Amino acid sequence: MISDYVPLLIFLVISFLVVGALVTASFLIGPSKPNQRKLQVYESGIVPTTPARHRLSVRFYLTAMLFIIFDVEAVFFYPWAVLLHVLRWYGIAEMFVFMLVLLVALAHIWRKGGLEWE
Amino acid sequence: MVLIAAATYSVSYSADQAWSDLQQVSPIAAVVVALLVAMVLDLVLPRRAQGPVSAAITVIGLLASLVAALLLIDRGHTAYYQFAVADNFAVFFDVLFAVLGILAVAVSHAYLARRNFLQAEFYVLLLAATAGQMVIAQANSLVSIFLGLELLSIALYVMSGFARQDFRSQEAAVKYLLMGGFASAFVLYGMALVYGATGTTLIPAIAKSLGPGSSTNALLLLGILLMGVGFAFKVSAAPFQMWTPDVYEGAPMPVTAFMSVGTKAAAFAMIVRVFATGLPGLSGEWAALLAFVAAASMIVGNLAAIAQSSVKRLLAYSGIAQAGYVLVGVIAGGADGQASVLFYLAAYLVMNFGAFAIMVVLAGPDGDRDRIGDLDGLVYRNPVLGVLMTVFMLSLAGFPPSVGFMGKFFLFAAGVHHGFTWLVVLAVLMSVVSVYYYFRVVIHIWTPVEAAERRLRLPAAAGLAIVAAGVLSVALGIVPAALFGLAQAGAVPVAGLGGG
Repeated sequence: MISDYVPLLIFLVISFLVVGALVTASFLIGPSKPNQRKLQVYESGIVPTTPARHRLSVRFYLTAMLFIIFDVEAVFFYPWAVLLHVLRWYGIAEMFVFMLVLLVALAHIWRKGGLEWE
Repeated sequence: MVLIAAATYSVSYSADQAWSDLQQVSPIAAVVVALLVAMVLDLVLPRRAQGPVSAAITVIGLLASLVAALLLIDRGHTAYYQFAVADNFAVFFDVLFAVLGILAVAVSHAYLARRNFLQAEFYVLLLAATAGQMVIAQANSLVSIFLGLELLSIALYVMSGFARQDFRSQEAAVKYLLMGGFASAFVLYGMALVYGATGTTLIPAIAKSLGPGSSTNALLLLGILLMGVGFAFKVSAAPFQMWTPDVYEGAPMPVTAFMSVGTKAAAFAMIVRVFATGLPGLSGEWAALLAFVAAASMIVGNLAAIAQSSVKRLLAYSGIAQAGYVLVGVIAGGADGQASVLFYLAAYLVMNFGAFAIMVVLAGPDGDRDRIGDLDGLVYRNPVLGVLMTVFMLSLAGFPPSVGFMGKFFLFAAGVHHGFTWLVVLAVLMSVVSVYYYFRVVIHIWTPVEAAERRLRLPAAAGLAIVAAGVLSVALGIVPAALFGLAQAGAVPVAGLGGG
């Protein structure tokens, strides 16, 4: 049983070796010419203005959560689309039921003010 | 080069098959339809009408679910490529959860209005939790079990924080979310390892894949251990019980009533389904694990309950101890062990829900009144409630002729019959300890108060539910044969153990 996982172990060891070798090699043989700009904290190329640890509005959390829910639901469309030729009309009907459920949830969020910022 | 599109599917899913599968899960479908209808009506109806209409929709949906479950008795089979099943075991739990839901609506209705809670949302969450419980009951695969578990848990996380203005309720919700998340992670990791060891998530297929070498398979044993830990969290068994008192105390009373019975029954459905039917060949291994958990629960639950001054916390610790008793039946195994578990869970539904329901009625507009002193003179303030609370306490303590006595009798008989005498001796000793704290409640109920001025008004629906639970607590104790027959019919036949 355990021996089935030996290839996985080999794979892990090789990946660590390769990554380690590359980083070490670039450290040893790469040219090193530091300057002020290169030593700055890299933040998507923009000069940092404030520390990152400040309070965020809890509304971001709500919006992010709603986004995740609908985002993950959308993933279900892919296997459905691949298998549609097997599922036929049943599959189409089923997906419309699924979307109806989502639509009810969306209507609920909308009506209850979940999408409003203030 | 592999062409994914070249794969041909010999299976086709016909409309007849779809219809047949849907019938097998019709109890769940009825609950989900009621949930959607309640959600839509919540949006279109004026605010004043929402509460009563949502309650009515919820009860109608649960009644439809109950009928659908009863129609499936002896006629169920597997559905959705064996991911779901409607055997009598599943149907027994479906009926239990539908009844629990109806009782919960009856008890909550007046409470929600009095405390000015959002009513429609409460019922929608109640239906979602019930659907989750039923999915667990009807699951026949590790995947569908986990789906049901999450559906149930997430609805309950929100419900425990339902008193948004109450700091304790918020605390309960956060604690429950964190501890529940840990438990889910344990269960899921265990399931992944079992899947890795057996190559399937279907429970009958797991049972078939076990062989002589299984008991030394490290992956499988680790998987069982992790699932056992997760399940013990969910049934609130020691040493994984620490969230229970805090969550029970903080959550609004009807939620506590609902989840004290609901999660426990659902988690036991899960334990029996996965361990007894899925891993019968390893019963020695998981029984040893569960025996430790059972013994610890009985000791911790009963000893800690003695010192409680809040009825919610007292009943939480009592619930931990009760989980220990029920585990005796699970460990015993066999048809009689399983039947005793089903019987006790039904008994627990009427007596424990009844006790919590009376605490719901006691609550004021500002919050729950759950100090043990709040029960002083209950029998003089409202004789019906006082007498019934006494009945529920005696039943939980296991006095004849209550249903609690018969339930414990069946559990312990199964335990002795299958050679777990030491565990049963411990259980009986600890039951004696439990008499002390159940009687403390009874003494408070019968303590004369100076002026029985505050007559307690009993809302009609809640009163009906409490009286029904009280009558059943006594009636099923005197005539247990009918319920025990159903429980025996619900026991899952276990292959290879000769359980009978």
